[in-house]
Amino acid sequence: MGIKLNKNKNVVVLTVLDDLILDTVQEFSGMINSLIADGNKFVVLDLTGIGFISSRGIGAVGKAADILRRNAGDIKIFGMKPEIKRMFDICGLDKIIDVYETEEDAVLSCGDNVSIVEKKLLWSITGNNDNDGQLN
Amino acid sequence: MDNRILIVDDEKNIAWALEESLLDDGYSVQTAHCAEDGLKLFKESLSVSPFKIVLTDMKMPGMSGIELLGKVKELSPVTQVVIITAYGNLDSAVDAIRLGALDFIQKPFQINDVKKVVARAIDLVNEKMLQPAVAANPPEEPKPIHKKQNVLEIQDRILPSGESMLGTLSIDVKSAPKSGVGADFYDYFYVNEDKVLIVIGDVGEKGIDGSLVMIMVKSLIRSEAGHSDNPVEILGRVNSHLRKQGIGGVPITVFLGIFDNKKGVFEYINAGHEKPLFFNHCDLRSANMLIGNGIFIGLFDNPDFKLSAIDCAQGDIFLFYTDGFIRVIEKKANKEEPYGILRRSAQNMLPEKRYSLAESLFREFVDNDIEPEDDITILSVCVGAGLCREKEIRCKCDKNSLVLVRSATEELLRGVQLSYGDRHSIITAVYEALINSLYFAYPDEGEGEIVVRYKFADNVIRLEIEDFGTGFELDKYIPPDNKTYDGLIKESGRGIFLMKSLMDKVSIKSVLGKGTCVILEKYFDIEKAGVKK
Repeated sequence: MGIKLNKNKNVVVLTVLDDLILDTVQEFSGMINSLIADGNKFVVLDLTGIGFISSRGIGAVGKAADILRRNAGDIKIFGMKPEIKRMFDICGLDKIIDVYETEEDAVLSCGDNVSIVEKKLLWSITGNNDNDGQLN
Repeated sequence: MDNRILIVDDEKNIAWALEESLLDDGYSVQTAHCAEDGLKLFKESLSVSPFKIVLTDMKMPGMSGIELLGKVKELSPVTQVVIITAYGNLDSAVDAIRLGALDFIQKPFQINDVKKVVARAIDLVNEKMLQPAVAANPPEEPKPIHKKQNVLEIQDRILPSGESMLGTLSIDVKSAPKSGVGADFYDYFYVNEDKVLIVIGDVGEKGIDGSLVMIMVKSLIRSEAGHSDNPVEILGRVNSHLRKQGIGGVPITVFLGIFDNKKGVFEYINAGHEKPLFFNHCDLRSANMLIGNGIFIGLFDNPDFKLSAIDCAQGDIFLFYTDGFIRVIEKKANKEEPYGILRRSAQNMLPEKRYSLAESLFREFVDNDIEPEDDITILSVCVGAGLCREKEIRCKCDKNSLVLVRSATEELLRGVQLSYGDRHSIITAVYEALINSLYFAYPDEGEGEIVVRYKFADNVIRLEIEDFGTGFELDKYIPPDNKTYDGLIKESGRGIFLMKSLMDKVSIKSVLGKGTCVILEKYFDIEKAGVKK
C-alpha cells in the first residue's frame, strides 16, 4: 500500500509513502471516493515522502479538491518538497489548493470559512503585501 | 542443481576477490566483467545447471546491473539476484529490490557479510525448489515466440568510450589487470559541483592482498574527499588511516589531482607515481611531464607532500598511466626511451583521438594475445565536452520498464553537469511520456513495445520515446484559476503540458504506419562552466 490513513480530530490525514504515479494515483482516488462515501469532509495530504508526481497524480489531487468542496469539505496539503511544489505551480494547483508547512497548521485550517487562496486574493486586492499564506 | 554463483563486476579486482572467497566456501563460481557477458553465461547455464545466485555490480559500462536483474528474473524467476552498489547509491538499490533483487551490498564490503547474504540466498533458492508444483503435471503450453519474451533490449553506444564530467571533462580509461586481478587503481568523481577528483595509483603488493589494499585506498580517498578538497590533506589522511590500520609497509604510488572547473586549474600531488603527460591545446606537438614527485604512501607517517598546480583550458589533455604500461612499451622499444615513444605516439594520435586517447594507446601497444607482466592502466582526460553518448532501449510497455528506464536515464545523466532541478525535470518528463504509452498506446499492459533513445552531445540532451499507439492531444490543458478545475479534471492534455513546461523543447513525430514519437530536449550551457576558451 502506498498510502497510510490516520485520523487527526475530525480530519483524515493521508500520508503518501510512494511517488504519486501509476498505482498510487489509483489508490489515492479510490480512497478519496471511499472517504466521501463514509461522510468524511476534510482531508489533509502529507506529501513529505514523495519525490515524483505525475500529471495523473496532479489531476487526481485536483479532482479530489473539486469533489470534496462539492460535498462542503476541502483538501489541504503539507510537506511538499521544492520539486513537487514546482509541479503544482506549473499545473496551477497552487492557485486552488492551500499548502501548509506542518500537519498541525493544515489540520487546524480545516473548517475555516476563508481559504488561504482566497485570503491571498483578498490581500492582493486590498494591496497588503503580506502574502505568506499563514493567516489565521 | 549445484550451488552455482555468477559474479558480474567490471572491476576485475573485486570480481576476482569475490570469486576466490566464494570458491573457498565450496561454491561453483563463474565471473563476467560486463552485464552482456554475464547474461550470455546465464543463458548458457539454463540448459545445463542454472545459476542459483547472481551477484552483480549496479553501475557498469553498457547494460546496468538493474537491467541484468530484469532479464535474469524473466529467464529464471527462482534465481536470486544480489546487487552490489557503490558509495551510498541507495535510491537505485531500493529500485533494484522493488524489481525483485533479494538484497544489496554496499562497497566497500566485508567479505563475511557477502558470504552471509549468499548463504541466505542459496537457502532461499533451495527452499523454493523443494516446494511442490501447484498443479500436478500441467500440460505444457507452447511458449510464445513474440516480442513479449523480449523484455528489454539495450543497445548502448558510447562514442567514444568514456564519460563526461561537469560538461567539460571527457574521461577515457583502459585497464587490464594481470591474471584477472591487479593492484592498479584509478577513480574519478565529483568533489563538489565545480570540482572533479582524478586519481591513479599502484599498490606495491600483488595478488588478493594487493587487491584488497587497493579497494581500501580507493574507498578512503572517496571518504576523505568528502571532508576536504585539498589533495595534500586528502592523501595525508589516507596515509594516516593506512598506518593506523596496520596496512603500512606496503608502498602505494598515487597521483591525485583535483580539477577546478570554475578557476580552470588542476591542483595535484604525486606520491611516487609515474609522471603524467600534459598536452597544451595551443601546441599538441609539445608534451610536458607534470612536475613534482613525493614519497609513496603507506611507508612513513606524515610524509611531506608538495602541492602543484597547472592552468587548464579547453582542448588541453592529460595522460595518466601506471608503470605496467611503460614496461610494455619498453619491451617493444628498440633501445629507445619508453617515455619518448609514448609521447610521440600520443602526439600522432592528437587531436583526432583526444576523447579516446587511453583506448587508442592501449590498442597500439598492448597485445591482447600476450599476458601482461604487470597490471596496465591508462587514463586520458580531455578538457572539452565533445563526448557524444547514445543509448537505445527497447522494452515491453509495463510498469517494471518504467523503473528500468528511469534507472537507465539516471545512469546516462550521471556524467552531465545539470542542476538537481533539471535532472528531476528530465526524469519526470520521461515518466510522463512512458505513462502516456502505458495508458493510451497500450492499455493492455505488456502488449506493446516502447523504444527509448538517448543522445547527448555538446549542449543538448535529447530523448525520443517512441510507441506504436495513439498520438498526443496538444494544447488541451488549461491551468486552473482559483475557482475552476477545468484542465485538471479533463482526462487528456495534462501530461504533454507538464512535459512542455519541464523541458526546453517538446515535439511530436508521427511514425508512418506505426504510431507516435515524443521528442524531449533539454539544453545545458557549457559556456557557464567557466573553463577558459
